[in-house]
Amino acid sequence: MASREGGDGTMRFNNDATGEQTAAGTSEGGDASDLVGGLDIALTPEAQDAINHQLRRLYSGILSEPTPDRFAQLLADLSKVEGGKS
Amino acid sequence: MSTAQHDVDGLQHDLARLIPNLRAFARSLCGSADQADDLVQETLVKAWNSRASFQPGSNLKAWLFTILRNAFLSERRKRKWEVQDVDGIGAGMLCVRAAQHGHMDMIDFEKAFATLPADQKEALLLIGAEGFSYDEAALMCGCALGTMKSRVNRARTRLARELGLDAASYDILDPHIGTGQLTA
Repeated sequence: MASREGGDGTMRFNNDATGEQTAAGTSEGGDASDLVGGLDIALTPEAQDAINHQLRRLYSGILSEPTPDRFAQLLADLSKVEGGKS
Repeated sequence: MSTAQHDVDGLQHDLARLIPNLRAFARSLCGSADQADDLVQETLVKAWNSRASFQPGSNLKAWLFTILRNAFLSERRKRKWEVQDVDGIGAGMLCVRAAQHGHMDMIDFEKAFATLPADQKEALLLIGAEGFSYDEAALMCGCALGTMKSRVNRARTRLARELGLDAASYDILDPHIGTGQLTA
């Protein structure tokens, strides 16, 4: 499902468009997770599978929810306001 | 003009198609349906307003997800969202409470996931749920490839521990840990 759409396999983001520049480390906050991560261990394949499976189940549950009408309306409004100007 | 109109329609269509993914990512990240949908709305508006800077042919989903996660982090800094703001602290308290019950496996996956620090949640969602490559995810999050791998690893390890899935690996990796502690 990995979506590679760039022909050369690279992605170039214009970060101006993302509202905020996130230099590496912006969100790290000292990485308190090191306390936990210090215990890095190799999980059994079974444990990995179980986690992957549950994660996807949780995620796909949300994915399959119907999209609220507000979003269709929002897109329609956006296209009206600026449509055709680009 | 017709080309421009075609682009507009195409982008509208692509945005609409990706809304379920944006909602799922946002919800998993911030844990609240209302906040998540506000984030998605903000993302769509930002994406639309800066669509001229999107390079056609590059990965639209990655671009949108990057906008969303940046909006999330920015919002979190502004508003100090409750659980996420104290990441480790809130999560730690939950862990302690669960440990006192002595049944880590009673915590369901969703609860365990909610206790992860935001950077680990994000990493696991991008890699494990959305199927982005480590390279893509690292680029999206503005971190090194190794950092991204480490976050995913930590997230999985922590979930496994909280869900009681990792006993076997402790057993294998460190036979000196008394097996008596591992109530099978």
